[in-house]
Amino acid sequence: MDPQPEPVSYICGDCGMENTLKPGDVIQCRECGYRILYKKRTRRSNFYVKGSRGSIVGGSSLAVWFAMW
Amino acid sequence: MRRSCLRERLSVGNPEIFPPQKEQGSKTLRDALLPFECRQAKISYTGKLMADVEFQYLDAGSPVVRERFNFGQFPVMLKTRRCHLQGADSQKLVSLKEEAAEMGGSALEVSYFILNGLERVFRSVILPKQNYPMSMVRSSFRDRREGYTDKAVVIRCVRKDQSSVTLKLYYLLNGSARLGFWLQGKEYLLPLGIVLKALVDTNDLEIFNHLTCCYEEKYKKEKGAVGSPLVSERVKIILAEVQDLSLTTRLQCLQHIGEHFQPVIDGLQSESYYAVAETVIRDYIFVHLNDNNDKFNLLMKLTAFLMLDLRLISFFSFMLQKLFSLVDHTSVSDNPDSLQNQEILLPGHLITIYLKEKLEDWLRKGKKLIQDEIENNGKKFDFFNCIIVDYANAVANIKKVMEKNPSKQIGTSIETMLKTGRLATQTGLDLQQRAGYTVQAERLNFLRFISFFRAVHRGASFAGLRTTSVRKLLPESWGFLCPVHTPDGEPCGLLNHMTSTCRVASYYDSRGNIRDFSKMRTSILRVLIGVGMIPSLPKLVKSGPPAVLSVLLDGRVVGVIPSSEIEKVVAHLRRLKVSAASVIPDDLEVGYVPLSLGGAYPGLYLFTSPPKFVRPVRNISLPSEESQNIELIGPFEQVFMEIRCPDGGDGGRRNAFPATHEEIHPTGMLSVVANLTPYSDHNQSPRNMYQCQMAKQTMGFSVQALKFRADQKLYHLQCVLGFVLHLLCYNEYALGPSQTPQTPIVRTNTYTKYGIDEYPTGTNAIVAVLAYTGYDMEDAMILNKSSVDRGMCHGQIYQTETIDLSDDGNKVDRGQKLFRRNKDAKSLHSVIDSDGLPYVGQMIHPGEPYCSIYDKTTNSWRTNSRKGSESVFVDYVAVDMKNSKNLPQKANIRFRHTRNPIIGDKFSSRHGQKGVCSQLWPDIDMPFSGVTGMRPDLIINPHAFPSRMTIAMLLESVAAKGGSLHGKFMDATPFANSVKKTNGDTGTDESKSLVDELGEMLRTCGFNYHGVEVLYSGVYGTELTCEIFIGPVYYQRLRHMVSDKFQVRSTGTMDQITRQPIKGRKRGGGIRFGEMERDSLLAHGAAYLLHDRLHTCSDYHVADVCSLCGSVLTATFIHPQKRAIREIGGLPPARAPKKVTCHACQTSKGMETVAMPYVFRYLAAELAAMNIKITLQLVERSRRILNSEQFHRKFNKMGHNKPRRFKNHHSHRAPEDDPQVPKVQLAMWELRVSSGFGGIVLSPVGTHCVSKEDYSLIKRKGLAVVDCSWARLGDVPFVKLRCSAPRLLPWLVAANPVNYGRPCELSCVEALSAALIICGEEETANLLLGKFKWGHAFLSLNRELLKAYSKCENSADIISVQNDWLSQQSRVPKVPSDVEGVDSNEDEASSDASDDVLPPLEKNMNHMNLLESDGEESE
Repeated sequence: MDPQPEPVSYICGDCGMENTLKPGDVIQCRECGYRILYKKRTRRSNFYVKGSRGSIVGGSSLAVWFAMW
Repeated sequence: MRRSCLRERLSVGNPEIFPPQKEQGSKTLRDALLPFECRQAKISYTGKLMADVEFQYLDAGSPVVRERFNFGQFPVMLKTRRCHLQGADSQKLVSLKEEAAEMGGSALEVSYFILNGLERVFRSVILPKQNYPMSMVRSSFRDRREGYTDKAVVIRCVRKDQSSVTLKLYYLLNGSARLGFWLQGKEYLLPLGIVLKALVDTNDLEIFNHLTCCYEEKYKKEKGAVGSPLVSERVKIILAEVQDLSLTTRLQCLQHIGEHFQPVIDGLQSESYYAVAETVIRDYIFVHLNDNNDKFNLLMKLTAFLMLDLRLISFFSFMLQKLFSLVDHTSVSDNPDSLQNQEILLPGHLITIYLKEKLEDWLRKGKKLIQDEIENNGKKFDFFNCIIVDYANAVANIKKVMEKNPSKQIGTSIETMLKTGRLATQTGLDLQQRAGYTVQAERLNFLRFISFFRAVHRGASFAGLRTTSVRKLLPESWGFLCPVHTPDGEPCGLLNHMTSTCRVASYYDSRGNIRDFSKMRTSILRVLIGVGMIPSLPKLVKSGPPAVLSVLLDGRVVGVIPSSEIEKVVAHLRRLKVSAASVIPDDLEVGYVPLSLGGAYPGLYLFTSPPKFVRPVRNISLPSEESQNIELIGPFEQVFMEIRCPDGGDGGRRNAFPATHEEIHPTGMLSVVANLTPYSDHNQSPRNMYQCQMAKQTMGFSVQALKFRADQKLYHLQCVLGFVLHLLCYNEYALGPSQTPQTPIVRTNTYTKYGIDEYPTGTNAIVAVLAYTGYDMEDAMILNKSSVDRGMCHGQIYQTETIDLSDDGNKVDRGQKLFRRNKDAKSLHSVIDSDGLPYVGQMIHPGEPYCSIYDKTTNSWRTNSRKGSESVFVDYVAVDMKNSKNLPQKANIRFRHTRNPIIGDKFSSRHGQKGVCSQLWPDIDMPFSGVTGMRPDLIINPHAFPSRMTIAMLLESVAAKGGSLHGKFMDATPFANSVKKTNGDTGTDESKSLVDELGEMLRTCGFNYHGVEVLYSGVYGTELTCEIFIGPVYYQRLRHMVSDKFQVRSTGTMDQITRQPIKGRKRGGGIRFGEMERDSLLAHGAAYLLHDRLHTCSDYHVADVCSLCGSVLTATFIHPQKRAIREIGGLPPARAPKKVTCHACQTSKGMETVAMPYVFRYLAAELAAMNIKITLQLVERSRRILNSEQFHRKFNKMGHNKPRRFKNHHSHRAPEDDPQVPKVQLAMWELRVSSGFGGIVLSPVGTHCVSKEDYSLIKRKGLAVVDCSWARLGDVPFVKLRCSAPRLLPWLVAANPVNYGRPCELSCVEALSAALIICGEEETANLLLGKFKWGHAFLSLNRELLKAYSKCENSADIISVQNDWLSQQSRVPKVPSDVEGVDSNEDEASSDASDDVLPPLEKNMNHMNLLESDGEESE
């Protein structure tokens, strides 16, 4: 197991609060206890160098990070 | 809902359904379960059903043990009273994450259920009209039993709770009648006399008088006289039948009935015959008359039971009279296929009767459990004492027993019924079908969605019927069912849609209050008696038509009205119907069937009961106070009403019957979808039908709450900058971006009325009608590439994958799986986030993983990968958990497929004109208008119009052009001119036709009156020779797209058994090359292609066949034993020679390899399993030395596809005396490459030319050729060919069809015959060539050359002749010859080739020089 997995941001389906969850956390809004959470849009760009026949070469090292909003 | 029994009574009462709630234990603030949450979490929208269960001893008058039971989760329809959305306005709906205009709401509209996250709609079915005796003629009645006729009167009796029993009164050949009803899957037929006598304690004379009262001598042959003198004879027979059974009193008859039914009726096995008979009569015979709570009874101060008997008797006499009049042809039979005699099954009613049955079953089972318990341990389980002494304990005991009979199943069974649409019942609930009651509501677009709620199906049992009579469009359905909106094809006419004005009356009134029908009936009766009805109670009326007419109120004979009064009564009732003050319901159906000669059976039939169609018409017989003259009418009464159309005409009506009613608007006869077609009254009718279908297949703005939806597949037309509603000026239009979707410029008033703008379905495209580039042939259409680039018809498919980790796997490892990314698999990290789910907004290519699942128990990782051939975007990811425990998780991942128009996508206008995009044509090459410079978005072919006659499309184009020029929407409501006429007393623009109106609009803006414009070719810039019809037409993009349909395969998966390619696009299969395709290739003679498709590319198989026993199946492989020795010796295993032997013959002598389809071998195996042997007779075609006669026969069938073999014509001196036989003896066999050949071999490796010198050698040793392909000379091992005398052939031109006209590339037979001719054996050569169709061509082509060659003595001479020939340039066909040369050659050749039809080489048309002929013409 990854000792420190990256947390992922979700938005509560009821109150709209942003929740940051680690793998294994209970999926529930911290504010209102709502159980449906939507994942936030990725801030990564999706430029990948595509290798032959669909396998991706490079991965995260080639991913360009930039602010989308 | 009671089941009475000997001593105990168990009953259910006081039921209540609670609003849907979330599961207990969740920490959320809200408890309410909202519909959108159900859709996302894929659960059902259900509320708890609670009811009191009461247990009581009947005899002791003991207290009641009452306990509230939970009957499980009951599905809740959206927007009903228990739904959280009930009464919500659009703002609240949006805040609850619903559509602003969600279906349902008012008491009249139906809605849908959410079950497992899917939206399911009830599919309404047509039922026979309740409580109306219908006379029917059906040949199947004859088969009931001996002596039955095809005539019967059938009535579907419906109780207050909508459960029904169908009764049939059959007419027998002997004049008697039988009463039939179904009970436990069997039809019981009772003699009518017994039933009659069992009902009333009276004498036969009274019955006789009562049944024969309809016939009176004086009315004979008069209009409306239904009786006949035969009636009394028949009644006598009916009564005689009872006497024959020696039953005289009522009690005896009841005993007789009870005796028969006692073993059949459940729970009454131990009852007395009398009680059983009472139950039968109460529960099965005319159940609609048996209403215990009827206040009417109390009103008339009579005991309920006597009342019932009287009612039954009077009803029987009515039915019997109707039956006899049908037999006597004084009335016609009713048509069960016409809407007049039909009503509709509503979801609530089906659920009610289904629930009733389920509860009955549950109670029956519960009662049995309690009885068993009492019997087994009676002491311990002494309820009676318990109840008195210890109430709490008694309740606990009852509960304990009932636990064995889980009450929660009730809710589940209802849910399953709605989920599957299937009724799991023993009795069948008196319904025609058991399955297909619900369908999934697809939200492809709004029109498709609303059509689900307006659809009425005729019944699944009619779908398989051969006859088409049920599908017929009958005039009775006018105004209720849309004649246009029915699919064509299989369900045509069976699946209908209600018109836009049609409603279904229900238990609720327009204000949403439950209606009290018994109160209604009472007041109607009061009114009727007030206007002169003679009530049938308490004294039976003994008189019939034509003097009086029977009045039936909801199927009970309430009295008679003198026929002279009847018209007044009907008018009075109608007046009361529309007046708001009266107690008469506004949807009361006043079915007055007038007296007629042999028409429908007369009477006044009043119906109040709910599931019936109603529609509004204007009552013009009333003084027109505003809004007080709209009357709701039903399909039964409509038939006998005089309703005129508002076009001012009389509709062929005679003055004798003046119109009493008027249609409100002619569009009221069309459904919502059919109403949306602009100017549909100008179209050919099937085109409007096609449009109704295509409107429902259009990609449009499917949902507004797209963000909160997790539908499996959602088609959505893109909206680039939000939804913008504005009119674009015609000129601006071409320049501005095509915003999709748009509101149509040309629209009907229905469009506005139903707010279709909330869900638009198309684009106003500038359509030019011309044949341009040929890419618009056969309904193909050319799209402007730039328009598409600007956003026209851009669309998406949203596809949701739901991954529920609790679903897969067994119970043990549930909760052991979670979304997690494998940190070691670095390659995944670019696609999958650290939570094991994809990044939102990211593109995923086919085959790439999109989520990763970790299994704790097995410590293994699993990824789900994208299938298909499209790259998709991750649109959203939603996670949730089912219960409060940590795991398992559930995720909805929604992918977005971009679907912008490409070649092969389907589009259609609103007039049934569909087409496929054939080209995305560059804007610069599109034709453009000379004045405005506009280019069309879309080009269609003019051939789309003449045969289809969609004039409305042309009108739409002109109207939209005018509308956009003037900046306004155009009203295209159909039948507008017919309505205008009535109002048009002012009549200013009466003379103006629609075209004039529209043309004038164009003319005022300087455009051509007819909508045509001068266009210039986009390619040449020249003016097109005719003016082109161009204008905006609202185009829809249909959901059929090539990306979902294309199918291509070279090689791939094969079927396991047959080894043929599999089918199915998803699995990478092929498209069937079927019988007809085979036929067409056969017809073309494309044998090679056929062989390639059907054999080589399919199941090509080389089988080992034993030629001795002829079996395909007996071949067995022999494994050489030496192999093991080699292995021991450490040597590499030699490639074992494939050796097969026949298992049956025990020898490998006869083994041969034969190419065959693998299925043939499979067939042989299958036949062998049936003890049938297939024997193959192998005929060896090569390696056989044929004598000359055989050779002549076989010559044309020569197989010569095997290189590396010599083909040899051994020549011997033939006997001189036989002129038929050639001088050189011919034979053919094939030689091994290595074996060598002593004779002359024609081979390219030779050094000398063949000549007369070789003749002696040929005579002695023979002549041979190398049979190989000219294209693959390099593969032939000439070095290995051991031949003593290889020879060349001189320059000759081939005439075989493969290499025709090519010098030196001769075929075997050409080479052989050329050599023979050179050696002087011309006859033999002619014989050889004569076997081929083209043989003579070789001779005529090379005639001169061969003549010259054969004169030469040795090879050097031949070479010199050849060189001479070649040096004459004009003789070489490749070199273009000058005009003179050709002329001279022609002369020469024509003189030479005296008897030959074929032109000599130089005259071959293929070699003619085109330039020369051109030159000649110019000269």
